[in-house]
Amino acid sequence: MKGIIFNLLEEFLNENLGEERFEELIEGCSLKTREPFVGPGSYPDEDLLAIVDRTVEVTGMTKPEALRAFGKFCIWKLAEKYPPFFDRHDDAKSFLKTLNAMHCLEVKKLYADAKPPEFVMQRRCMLEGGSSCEFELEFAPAGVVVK
Amino acid sequence: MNAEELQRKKIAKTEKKVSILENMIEEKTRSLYLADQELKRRNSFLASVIDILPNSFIVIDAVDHRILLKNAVAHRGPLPEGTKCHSLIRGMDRPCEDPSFPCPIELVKKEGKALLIEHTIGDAAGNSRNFKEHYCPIFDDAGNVVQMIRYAIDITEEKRAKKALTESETRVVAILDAQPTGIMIFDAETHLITDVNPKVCELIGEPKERIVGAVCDGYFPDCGADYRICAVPGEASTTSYEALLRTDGTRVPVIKTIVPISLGGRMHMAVSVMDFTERAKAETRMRESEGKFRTMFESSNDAVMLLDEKGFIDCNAATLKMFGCQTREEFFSTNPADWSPPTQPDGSDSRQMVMERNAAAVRGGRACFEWSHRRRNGEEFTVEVLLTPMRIEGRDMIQSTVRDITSRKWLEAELRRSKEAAEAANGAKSEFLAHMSHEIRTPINGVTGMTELLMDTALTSEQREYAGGIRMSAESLLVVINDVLDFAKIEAQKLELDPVDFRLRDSIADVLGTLAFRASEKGLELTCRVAAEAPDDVTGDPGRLRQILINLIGNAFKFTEQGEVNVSVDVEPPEGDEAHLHFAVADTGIGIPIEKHGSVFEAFSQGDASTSRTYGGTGLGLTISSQLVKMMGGRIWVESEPGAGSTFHFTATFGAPKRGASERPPAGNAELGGIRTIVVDDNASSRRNLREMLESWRMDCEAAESGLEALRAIDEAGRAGRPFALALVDADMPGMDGIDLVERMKANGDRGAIPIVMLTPAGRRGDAARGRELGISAYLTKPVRQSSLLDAIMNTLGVAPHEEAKIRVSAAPRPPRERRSSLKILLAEDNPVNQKLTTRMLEKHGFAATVAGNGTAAVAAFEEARERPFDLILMDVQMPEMDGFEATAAIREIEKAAGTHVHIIALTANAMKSDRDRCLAAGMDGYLAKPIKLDTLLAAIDEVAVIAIQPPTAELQSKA
Repeated sequence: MKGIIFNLLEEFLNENLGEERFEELIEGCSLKTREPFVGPGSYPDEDLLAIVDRTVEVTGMTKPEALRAFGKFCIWKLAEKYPPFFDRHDDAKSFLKTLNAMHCLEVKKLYADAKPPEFVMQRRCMLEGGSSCEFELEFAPAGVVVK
Repeated sequence: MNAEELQRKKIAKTEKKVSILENMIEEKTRSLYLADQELKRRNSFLASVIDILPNSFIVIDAVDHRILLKNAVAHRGPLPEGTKCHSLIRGMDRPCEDPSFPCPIELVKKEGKALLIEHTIGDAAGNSRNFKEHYCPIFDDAGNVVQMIRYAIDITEEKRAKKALTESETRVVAILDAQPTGIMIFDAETHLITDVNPKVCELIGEPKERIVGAVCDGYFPDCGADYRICAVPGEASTTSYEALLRTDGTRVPVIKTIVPISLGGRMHMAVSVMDFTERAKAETRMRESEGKFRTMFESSNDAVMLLDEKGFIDCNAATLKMFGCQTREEFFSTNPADWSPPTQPDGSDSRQMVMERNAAAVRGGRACFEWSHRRRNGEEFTVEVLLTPMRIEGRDMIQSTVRDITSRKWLEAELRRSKEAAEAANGAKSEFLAHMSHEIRTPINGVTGMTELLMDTALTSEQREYAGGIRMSAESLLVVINDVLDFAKIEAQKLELDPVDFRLRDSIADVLGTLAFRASEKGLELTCRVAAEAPDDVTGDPGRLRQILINLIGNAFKFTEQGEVNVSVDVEPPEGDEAHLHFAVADTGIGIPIEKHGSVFEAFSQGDASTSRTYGGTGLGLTISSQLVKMMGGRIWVESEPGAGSTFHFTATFGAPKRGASERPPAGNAELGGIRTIVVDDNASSRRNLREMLESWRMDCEAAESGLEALRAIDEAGRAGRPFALALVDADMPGMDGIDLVERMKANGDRGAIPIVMLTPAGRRGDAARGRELGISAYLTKPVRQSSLLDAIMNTLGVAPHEEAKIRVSAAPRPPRERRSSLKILLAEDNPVNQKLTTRMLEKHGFAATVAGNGTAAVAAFEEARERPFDLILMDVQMPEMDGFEATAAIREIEKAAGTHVHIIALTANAMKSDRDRCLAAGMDGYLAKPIKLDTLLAAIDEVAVIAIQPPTAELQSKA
């Protein structure tokens, strides 16, 4: 996982818990990484999950609640940092459709060592007999080379 | 944790982050540099790759069409910045925005995918070249076309090659289709047929669709295992004679040739199949023909040999036999010259002659001549040689066919002798015939003449009866002799026609007139009808026509007991000036069974052998008639059934009269046109004949078949206001006869006014007095002559008779009798009976004649009478010592000196035409055939009298 996500998580926690509680929470995590996270760096996924787990413990939120809140925070921050990925889209649907392309091409372009996930979208549409249109996103296991 | 500690931690963390980032940047910078280096290397590599491409390669900016990259093929050397693609792509050098030619780049942008177009552009040399252009879009991340690669391949040569290939293929297909040989292609492995030409379809008898895809082995049932051997790839062609199985199950003999070929990477077999049927037949025929000719050659009785300049090449068995050789080898070892004597019978040199003959054969294609050969034993013999030049296997040869004609020569000589003898015999026969004719006629002449004289004397009725019998018998005998003579003449082909101009209708009417009496004696009705279209004047032999008609009509009388004999003459379509007439003589007699129809015209034949006795006659009449008809260019036949009467038909051709236009009165007589006439006759043929005659004069005619019917018709016509102006009434009708009818008519005022012409059978003139009483205008004897009928009608109706009629009735002027007696006549005649007869005839008519017994005596008498010369000499032709010809010649010789000319008339029993010619050639002036008829004798004398006696001028004028 790229350092930018760690930085965003740190920023999210910092804003919601305050600097002191945030520092305590980080120190309470047993992380493989010793030095501070920097955006261009790459870090083990376990470290991120350790921070999330510790957050759930500290805040008493459920894990989905915590991840959802982080996601909401994240998307705006990413939109600010990488406008070309978002500007072209008017709705979520068209954006979601570009996820794979974005990760594969752009992320890899910037970070050759990145291992982006593959997003598989299964669409059920009203036109095909469903009562609503929904996207079900599945994350392919990391490390699978996606073409 | 206090704020200070927190702050310190934060700073330490930030410092740590900065340090990490610095390291990262350094790392990144280094790797960027390396990447840049790599990129440059790659670009250079790519540029090189593009540059060495053999075809034009350009990268174009999709937005503004600038050329971003190009290789050397596209353009050599640098390009100014901002050069647009159209300036570089030849043939597209027009602005990209030109709407008339949609820019491929725009097309690709629009479609969003690669495009392949072909187009033709002119090169610098002015030749057109074909290009295949690939336009490949380059997309950005968002899928927009940002750049375009144009890669153009010059396919001019490819296209040319392809076109050439197509043409070549078309040509090959055309050639194969036109082949008289069947061509089949099949897969060498599967044996499936892949292609055939039309000839194969024709041979197999199935359409191409059915054959292609089939296994070829099925069509070659005799091939079997050999087929595999045939089909070894790489092997040269193999040829075999076998059968091709047709769809209908029949087999066609073929010559099959197989050639392996590679098609589309697979081994195939090309099979040519040639129909061998005709050749096989021809070969069989050739073999048979060869066998036939060999047999003919070997079995020929003629010696046949084949030679070239070196000597004999072949000969048949007859050759060996003819020349006396034992073996062929023996014969072949000889020289052709050995077989001829040194000289030929005519003294010419054999060797020299052979060379000449050979040259003639080569020149003319053949040479045929007589030759003298010599056998092995030295015997010479005569042969006929036929030399035929021929070319065999490129060598000139001569075939010599030699026929031994020794016996033929002998036969020819014999034949010539026989022919001469036969000719002599034939001549003798003709001479004999003439003599016989003379010898028989002369005594008959005596018998008839003397009988006539006898009957002029006072005789008892018994004597008169016997004398009459003698005369009739003699006349019958004369008829028989004439028939026999005619027949003999026909047999000897000495009968000739004597064509003169004559009047057809008159001639026929004369015949009927002479026979009318016989008809009425026997109670038969004799009628005649001549078609109106028949010409009046014709050229032909009237005597012979008369003979035929008398024969046929006489025949009809002979075999008809009751009823009628009807003669009709019709016209067949004319050819040129010639008239083709169809005569028919129909009777109501006993008839002839059909199987006898052919033989009635044969000599000595009548319907029934027994009838000869019943009916008499020589039986030659029809034979003679048939020959005469043939000579007149016609044919004769009979239609008859026993009991139903017979009709004898004949046709004859007559020429147009030499005198020119016919003197006959016009058929449509203006005076008679439209005159109402009724014909009353119970006989249908007679009615028809009369109607035809009347209608030919445009008369308005009705007919009635009985008196009662006639009365009814007359009354009816009167009531209708169209009364009859004339009635033709047959005197002899059953029930109410002619006279009865006329009486009934006279009894009624209106009817009585109609003028009547009465038609009576011959010999029934007795009731003329009664007729006059009844006011009958004219009597005519049946059968009615057209001219007599015309005259009678004209007279009856008071119309002036035609000029022609007057001329006809006027007779030639005859010198007064008293003057005739002054004629001085010399009769040269050896036969005492004839001397007496002729003198008596002359004396009876007031002439005195001097008699000389032979030619010598006649010449002497002529010389003695110089003081008062003879006016006429009647000269018998056949006399002892000096005959009539010699005597005439002698007299003419004497006259030459005196400058006088005595009229000499030949008397001869030789009734042949050649005799007459001979008489005239001998210097005689006229000719009388024996037996001499008083009439003809007097006519001849009258002719002389007119010349001999100096007539008064007035008479000359009257004659003119």
